[in-house]
Amino acid sequence: MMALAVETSALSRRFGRQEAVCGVDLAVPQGSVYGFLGQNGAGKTTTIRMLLGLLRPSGGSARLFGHDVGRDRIAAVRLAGALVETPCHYDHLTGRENLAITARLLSAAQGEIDRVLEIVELAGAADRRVGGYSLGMRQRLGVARALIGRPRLLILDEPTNGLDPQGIRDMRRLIATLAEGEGVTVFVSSHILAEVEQTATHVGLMHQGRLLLQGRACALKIGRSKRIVFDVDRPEPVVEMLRDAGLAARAGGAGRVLIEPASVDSADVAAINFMLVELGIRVFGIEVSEPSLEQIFHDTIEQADLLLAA
Amino acid sequence: MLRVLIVEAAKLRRSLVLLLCAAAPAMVALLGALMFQQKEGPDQPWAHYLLSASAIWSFFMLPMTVTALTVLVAQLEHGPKFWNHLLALPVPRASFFAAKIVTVVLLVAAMSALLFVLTPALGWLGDAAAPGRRLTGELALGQFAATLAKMFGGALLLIALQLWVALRFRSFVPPLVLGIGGTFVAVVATGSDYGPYFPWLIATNALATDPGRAQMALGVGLAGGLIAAAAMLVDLSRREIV
Repeated sequence: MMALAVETSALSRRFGRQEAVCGVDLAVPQGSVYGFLGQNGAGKTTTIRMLLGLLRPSGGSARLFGHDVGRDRIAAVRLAGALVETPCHYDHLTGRENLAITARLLSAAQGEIDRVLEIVELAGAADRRVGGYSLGMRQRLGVARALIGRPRLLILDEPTNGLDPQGIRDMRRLIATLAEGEGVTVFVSSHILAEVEQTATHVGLMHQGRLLLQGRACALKIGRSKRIVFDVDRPEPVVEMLRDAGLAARAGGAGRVLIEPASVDSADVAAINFMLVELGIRVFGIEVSEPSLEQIFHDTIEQADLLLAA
Repeated sequence: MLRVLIVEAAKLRRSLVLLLCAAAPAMVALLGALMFQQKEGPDQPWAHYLLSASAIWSFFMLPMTVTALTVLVAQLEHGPKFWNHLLALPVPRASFFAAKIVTVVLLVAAMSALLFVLTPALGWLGDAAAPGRRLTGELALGQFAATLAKMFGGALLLIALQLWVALRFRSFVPPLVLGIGGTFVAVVATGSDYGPYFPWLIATNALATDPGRAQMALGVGLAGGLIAAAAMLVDLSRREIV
């Protein structure tokens, strides 16, 4: 059985009548990059706050590396570094002075400050006041702060919030470097799937306080329908013909015909192509693609909403 | 605890807290000197001069400064939502709040010490700048120090209450309302019989002519301060950060 960095059991939290988090069973393997996904208000930040002991659960429990957060918060969070919501810093102090505060509180060596500044590429701006930092620099300083003391688990709550495309790319690269280079388990929440899809080895999807699915990113795609795209000169008759054959075909614009979901194998694709050529339709290209996580999540949320409405 | 206290001191660097701590006693001392220098009249004994400065300090400037100081110290964390970081660290939560109150108490002690130095120093300058008028009699620095020390001790309850409210609420409005309201009552009801028990008037009661009343005020301030500080640590350590 794979050792878990984060494990929750029926974790729940109510705010008055509102159920913010309901029966969440997280399983974050050590060494993974876990993308904790969901729309704004799905319960991601509330869950993270419970993982760090900032909020008490209404029910269930959370464990970090086997330590129960409710019973022994200090032992549980000792191995974790976190960036919760917006990056918080003392604007009147420099970047280095800000990091020195956390380093001292964690009894970390002073060399730690230079190490984490190098990792987030902020060494050049370390002696400037944080009040003058850009949002991207503030985010990176927040990550640097979370890295002090070499935590085995890094919890990043929406680390790309407000970043420009370059900043998002940098953050993505940083997360990948930390996981691969430093062996850190990274638990990163986001409401934008594309941000974590490229780096996450595991994903969990939150919706209305519930964890709808979780697992290895690649395993989630197994058994899911593919999508086939035919690039043809006359899409309308092709769509009609495929629909007559019982396939979910539609025109995708610019001469494209999409079959989605497509429960067909490569022999079927070859047969369709042969039939089109026989009918005098020119086929310029065929593309068979795995379903994207975005599509999987979209479908899962749609099904959950239907179940909740029923 | 010591490292949390050192961190608390490090946060004050380049902040407005130190400016406030220097300005408040300086203003009282400067105002006393200017009033003496500007006003015409007979010579004034040093005892009256120091008593006047102590009175202004205790019933107005001290409670107002404690209000502003506790708000500033609390807003250092509330403003950038720094509690999210601090309270997620593997450090006992109570130590953060204990460090806050120790810091504020030390700053108020430093302000009292500054007032002790500045009041006679500026009085001497005012005396030199007003040739027609003199400060006379004995400059009883020991008595002045004892009075300021009693005021400081009596202010512990006020410090604990103001800091508790300032830390408990993210907005700075509740502690400001409490501080301004309390100081207002202290100014309009300075001689009240309830003075030794009213946190904003306890320090002023160090000047009471009745030694029993002054002693009671000091006792209430010290004991009340310790009890309020302990209650604050328990309450804030259990609070959630939403």
